[in-house]
Formats: sequence, C-alpha cells, structure tokens
Amino acid sequence: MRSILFFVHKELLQIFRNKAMLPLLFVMPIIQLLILSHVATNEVKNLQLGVRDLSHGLLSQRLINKMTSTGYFVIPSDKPGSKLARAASLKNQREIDQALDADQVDLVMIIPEDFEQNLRMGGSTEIQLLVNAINSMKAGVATTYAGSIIADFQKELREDGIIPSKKEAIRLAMPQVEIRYSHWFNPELTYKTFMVPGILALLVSMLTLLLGAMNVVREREIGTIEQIEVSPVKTPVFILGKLLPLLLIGLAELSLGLFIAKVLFHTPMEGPLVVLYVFSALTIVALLSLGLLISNMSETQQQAMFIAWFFMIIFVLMSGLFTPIESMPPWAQKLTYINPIAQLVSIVRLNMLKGSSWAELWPHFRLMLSLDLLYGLFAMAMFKKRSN
Amino acid sequence: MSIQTEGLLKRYGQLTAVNEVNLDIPQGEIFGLIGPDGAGKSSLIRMLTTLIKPDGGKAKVAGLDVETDFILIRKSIGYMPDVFALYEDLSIAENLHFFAKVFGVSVEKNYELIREIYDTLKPFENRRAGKLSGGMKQKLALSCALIHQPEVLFLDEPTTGVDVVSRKEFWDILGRISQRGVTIFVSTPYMDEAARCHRVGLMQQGNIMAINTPQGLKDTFEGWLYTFRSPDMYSRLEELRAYPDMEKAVLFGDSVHLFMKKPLDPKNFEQYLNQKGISPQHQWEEISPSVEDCFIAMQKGTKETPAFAK
Repeated sequence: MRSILFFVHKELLQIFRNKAMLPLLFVMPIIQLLILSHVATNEVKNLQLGVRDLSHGLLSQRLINKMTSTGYFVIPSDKPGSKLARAASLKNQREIDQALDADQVDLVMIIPEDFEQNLRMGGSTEIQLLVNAINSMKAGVATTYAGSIIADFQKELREDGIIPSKKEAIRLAMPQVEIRYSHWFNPELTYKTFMVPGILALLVSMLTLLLGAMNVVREREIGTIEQIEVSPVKTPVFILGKLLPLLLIGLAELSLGLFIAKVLFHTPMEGPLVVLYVFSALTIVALLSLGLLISNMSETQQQAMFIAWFFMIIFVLMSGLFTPIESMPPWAQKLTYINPIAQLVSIVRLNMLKGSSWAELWPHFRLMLSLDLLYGLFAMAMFKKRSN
Repeated sequence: MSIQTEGLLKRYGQLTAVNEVNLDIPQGEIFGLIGPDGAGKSSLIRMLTTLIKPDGGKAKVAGLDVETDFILIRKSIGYMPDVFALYEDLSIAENLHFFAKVFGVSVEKNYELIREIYDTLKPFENRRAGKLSGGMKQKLALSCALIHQPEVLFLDEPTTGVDVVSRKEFWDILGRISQRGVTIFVSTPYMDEAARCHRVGLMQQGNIMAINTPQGLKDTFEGWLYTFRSPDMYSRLEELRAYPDMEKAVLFGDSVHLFMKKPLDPKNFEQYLNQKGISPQHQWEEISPSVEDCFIAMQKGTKETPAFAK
C-alpha cells in the first residue's frame, strides 16, 4: 500500500511542475464560474417590442408605458427620456412585417382604434399580439410576460374605476381564482442562487473527467507506461495512485469554488459541508474512472480528448443544469442514472439550497456508489487486459 | 541458461513478427540482436519482458516462464525501451528514486550497482530529465533499469540517437555490468556495435538467421568481398549486378560492396567495366567482411539495400 504514496507523490510533483497546469486548474474554472453564473439564466429581459397604436388615446399610452416600465420590454428605437416619442413606431402592416422579418422585434402589439372607447363603455376589446417565434423559448416567455402585464393593466383600470361597475358585477358573480406563487428554497427565484451550485458541480466534473482521460495516455505516449508494466506494481495500486491525486485536486477545486460562491454570490449553504464533500468525492471517483478508462483505450492524447468530449457534451447537456430532466423523454431520463454529472448537479442543489437530510440523499448515495463500482471495475478490467 | 526460448512465435494478423525463435543465452553474456527496422527485434524483447504474450512456443527468463511467472520475472529483469521513457518533468534524482520505490528497493542500499554510471550524473541531480543530452538520458535510463539489481537486462536499441563518444562509453559500461554476472540482451541496428557483444543473433523478417560470436560470423563468410568506388556507381548498380558470378552488389555508404562466388579476375572485370562504359575513375579492392557483410550475405534477394543505421 505504501507504493500508492509514491505514485501520488510523483503525480502531484508532475502536476504542480507543469506551468500551464495551475492556471488551467484554478484560474480558468473561476473565470468560468464568474462568467457563466451571470449569463446562464432562463430569465428573458430586454425583449424588443413593436407597437402599432391605432387608438392614440390615454389608455393605450398607459398600457405601452406599463409594458416598457417593467424592464422586460423595450421599444427598439426607445431612448431614455423619450418614452412616448416613438411609442407608436410601426405605422402600417408593411412596417410590422418588415420589423418581424428583419428580426428587429420579438413581439408586436396592435392596439385597435376603438380600444379606449370600448373599455370606457364597459365593452370588450381585443389587443393583437404578434410573436416572433424563431426562438420558441423566448417567444413563450414574451407571450407570458405580455399576458400578465395586460392582465395587470386590466386590474389597475378596474381599481381606478375606469372600467365601469357593470364589469365589476360580472367579476363578483364569477369568482376569480388568483394564483399566488411561493417559491421554496429560492424565494426570489434568483437564477444565480439556482445556477451557481450547478455550474460549480459542472466545472469540477468536467475538470476531473478531462484530467483522468489525459493521464494514462500521456504515459503511454512518452513510453513510461511500459516501465511501470514491467515492474511488479499491481494494477489497483497503479490506478489508485493515479486516482487519488486527481481526486485531491478535484476537491481543492470544489473548495475554491464554494468559497467564491459564498463570498461573491452569497449562495446559501443549507446542508452540512461533509455531505457535499462526500458526494463530490464519489462523483469525482466515478468520472476519473471513466476518464482513466478512456485514457487506457486511447493511443494518443488527441484521441482521448475527443472521446472525453463526446461523453462530456452528453453528460453536461443531460445534466439537468440547462434544461430540466423532467422535460426529457423517459429513455433520456433513465440515462441520467448513469450520468455522474447529473447526479452531482442535483445533489449539490439539494444540499446547498435545501439542506437535504441524509435520509433524503440516501438513494442518491447508493446510486453514486454503484456508479463508482461500475466505472472503477471497468477501468481496472480494461487496464489488466492491456498489460498482460 | 539465463534466457531460453523454444519455437517462440508472435503474429500480428497475417504478419509473423517473430517466427519460431530458439535462443540459449548463458548468464553474464552480452547477446546482441541485430537486424534492420521491422525485423521483429522489439517484438521478441517485448515477449521476453512480459509486455506482450507469445502466440506460441516457450520462453524462460532467469529460469522463470514468461507466461506463468510473469510477476516474478518483472522483479528480476531490467528494461530500457527503444524510446527515452522516463518522466521528463521530474529531475534525475526524482526519476531514480521513483523507479527504486516502484521495485521496492532503496537507492542508498543499491547505490553500488549504479555508482559508476550515476556518479557522472550526480552534479546535475536536480536537472529535469527532459533537459538532458542524449548520452545523459541514456545513463539515467540505465541507472533506473539497474537500481533493483536485475539478473537480466533488456536494452531495446539503447544507443539510437546518442553521439559516438557516448555510445562507446555506454558499451564500456555494459561490458563491466556483464562481468558482474548480469545477462544483457541488447538489440541494435548499428552493425559496428555487434563487435562489442559476446555473441550476436542476426534477425530478419522474424527469423534468427544465425547466432555466432562476431569473429565466428566472419569466419563462416563464404565467397569473396570487394569494395568498389566510382563517380557513377549509384546509377550503374544494375550493370555491376549483371557481372558473372556476382552474387550481390550492395550500396554500403560511399562505396559498393561486391559479393562474389569466385575471386574477381582483374582483367575480365576491367574489360567488363570498360565495355559497359562505367567511369574509368573507378577503383576496387578486396576486403575482409564485417558483421554487416555477413548479414547481407545471408539475406535472400539482392536488390534492396538493408535499412541499417550507420
């Protein structure tokens, strides 16, 4: 067992002696964390709004103001301080078509001529919304925002007594259900709170998978692997000697990331850190085993890199960080069971945001252990096959 | 016997890399395996060092079977692969200590084994292995291969890419190591190094064609050998080969070696050269064969110059 230590010592010496390695290990992931946590968000802001106001009334102007004052919508040619100036910017249908064609607007709101009149009379009126659905997610968000702003507008008018009491009567007669949301574990639904733990999990995972994949194949490329193979060193000793230093690096990376999350993003850390570290270590072991497996089956670092990226893209995009796992087809949901990154992302969130108990995390724990065994044994079996 | 093989066989698909090789190498011998690139030298060494499994036949190294006792063999052999395979980002001392630990020995205890080689490296102990000259790299690799006191040392083309002075020094060291009773199995494409071996085996296309002492090989040379030089010799090989009783005419550096079944008759030969219009500035003389000449004489087919390093 002492010989494992020699390998760990040697690996650490090599890693820290590599001048490109330290920035690669610690500076790049931090930059990624800083950048990604700001941009990886499902919130849509600054939607480009085109308006064709045929009514030219006070109420239509009030609606337009309400739309733009939320910050979700802006009118393309809007300049600060001149909100009213070009509100009715689109003069005819041709201009509307052009604006949509040229992708200048995400949403066009057409306010009919009799808008104000109908409202004041207590009648119904229609507002037409044309949505640019090139990006379906953005279109969906734009529709929802516009819908709720208009509904809010309606409520305001009613409260101000602009809409006559006849309407009020109907409202009383037909009790409305108002839905109020209360978001648990992330009350203000801030994306940073949600994303930072996930991105951190992702960065640690990616780093360790790549490090594992590059490691053995490098020794094969320079030929030192043969020197090890002709020595009496046993395969498990060799593999553990490779795993442990990389595991240490992965955990160091995690610690640094947690520190930044706490200090810069004030990410909550509800659960005990021990749990977080145990799970991270388990995930890292699974990923490193997979990496070593890739490394062992590759002839060159280039090959290993490509195969590692193949797994990485699949693991990352199916990790549930960017798109919810629940919205994937059933077969894809099942695949997340063998995806260590998906497991880590959900565990890190459960731990940091929710502070889940051991009992709650037990199924995840069992799963991660089996993944470790699966990938670890496979890596060892394949290594043996090559050496003898 | 330190190394013993019987019908040792290695195939890669259709290609037979090592074809039923029989070897008997006693303890303390320096055995040189000589042959061009692709002859199967590395495959043979890799089977004997337990890196690959043979496809047939038997092999024993240090009295142990390569298939069943490979773990034990690994403790009693040293191996220097054909490329410099040490950690270039570790220092001389770190490499040496790492390999000592891998074999479970300590540098301090076994220092006597490598003193002669390592003492010259010692002043540079903290230098990265990647920054060493070819000769120094080779000494370091040899130190690492010797530190665990192997009974048999396998060296796969150890002097490739090493300057002439370092090569000579290296062979002097090998000589002294073998005097301690270590068997040395060394492959080389350099024919001039064959003379430093106790015995050499000539290998071509997977077959060992002859095993003999360097002198013994030369003694068994059949026929007559001449060197031939002329300004136009490179373009006139075919005419030379067409001369009666000419077995082979092979380019040999800056001259052509003529392998004859009978002694050359000067008058006939000059007349032939004249008749073929070969430059009158030619010269030729009889020489005694080198190991390489013996090797070429044994090769079948005459057209190609074997790819030997000079």
